Amino acid sequence: MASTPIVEGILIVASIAIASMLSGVVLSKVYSIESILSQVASLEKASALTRIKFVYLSCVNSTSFVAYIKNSGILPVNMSMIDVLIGAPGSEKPIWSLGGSVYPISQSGSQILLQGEVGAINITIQSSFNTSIVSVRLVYPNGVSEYSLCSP
Amino acid sequence: MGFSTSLASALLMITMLEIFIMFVGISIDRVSELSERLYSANLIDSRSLMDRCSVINVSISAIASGVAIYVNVSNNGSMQWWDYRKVYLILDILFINGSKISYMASAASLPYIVFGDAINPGIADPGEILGIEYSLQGAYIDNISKVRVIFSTQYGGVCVG
Repeated sequence: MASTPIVEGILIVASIAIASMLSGVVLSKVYSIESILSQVASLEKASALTRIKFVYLSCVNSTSFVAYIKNSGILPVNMSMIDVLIGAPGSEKPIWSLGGSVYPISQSGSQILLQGEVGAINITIQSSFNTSIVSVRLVYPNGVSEYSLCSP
Repeated sequence: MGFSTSLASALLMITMLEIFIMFVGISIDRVSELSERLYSANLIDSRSLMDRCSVINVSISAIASGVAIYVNVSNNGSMQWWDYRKVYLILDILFINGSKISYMASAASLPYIVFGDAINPGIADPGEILGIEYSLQGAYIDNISKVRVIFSTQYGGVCVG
């Protein structure tokens, strides 16, 4: 008879211990999920607050172009992270596949565009295109792309 | 035994409540952050639509050291005054020999004047006209065929003249 309360006591203690353990596991998973969600949210926020505008494309000659872009968003933009595609309209190719070069620079001489700044991306290709109209497409770090046309 | 059972039940209930409150808190935080993000994004997108300009006049004059290009731009948006460090002038200059050069400068780095300066002295407010002078050293006015002016406003508006 005396063993019954002892057994029940042991069972209760065991139940509490298991419940605490499970709670601990659940809580740690919740914290983990919260951390992941925070990271995703901050990445999404950075993407949403990044706004770049393709202001103007100048064809200096048939192998040299200047693309002017403005940081109209909130966050600074690293111009070296902008991908440049160039070619006839509709068949632009990455600049690296054409053996060309890209040299981005702001008025302050930096590659980082602060809020409100306009920067120039100097684009040079090795040989001119067999087209009277050249299209330059810029792919921004947040995945948005814009293009502009000019005639050398 | 009755007391122990009650205690165990209470502990379990508290734990469950804690988990529930945490889930609710995280959900509210995420919804709040999402709303803030969407509001910020909409605000950014609307700024370039409201910050507008018009190139009213472009004129070229010969000066002793070269050529001066005068550009008058109207702030006809509904946004606000322009920060001269954040408004930019881009010039595409075509010469009669077919060569072309392209320049960019902020208004703050060039001589400027505000016409109709009635609201805030020295500041181009909406409704006022900003006159900017760009000097092209060593150039001859007779060698210039065409000049294209692109003006970029503070919040992403663009006008061409």
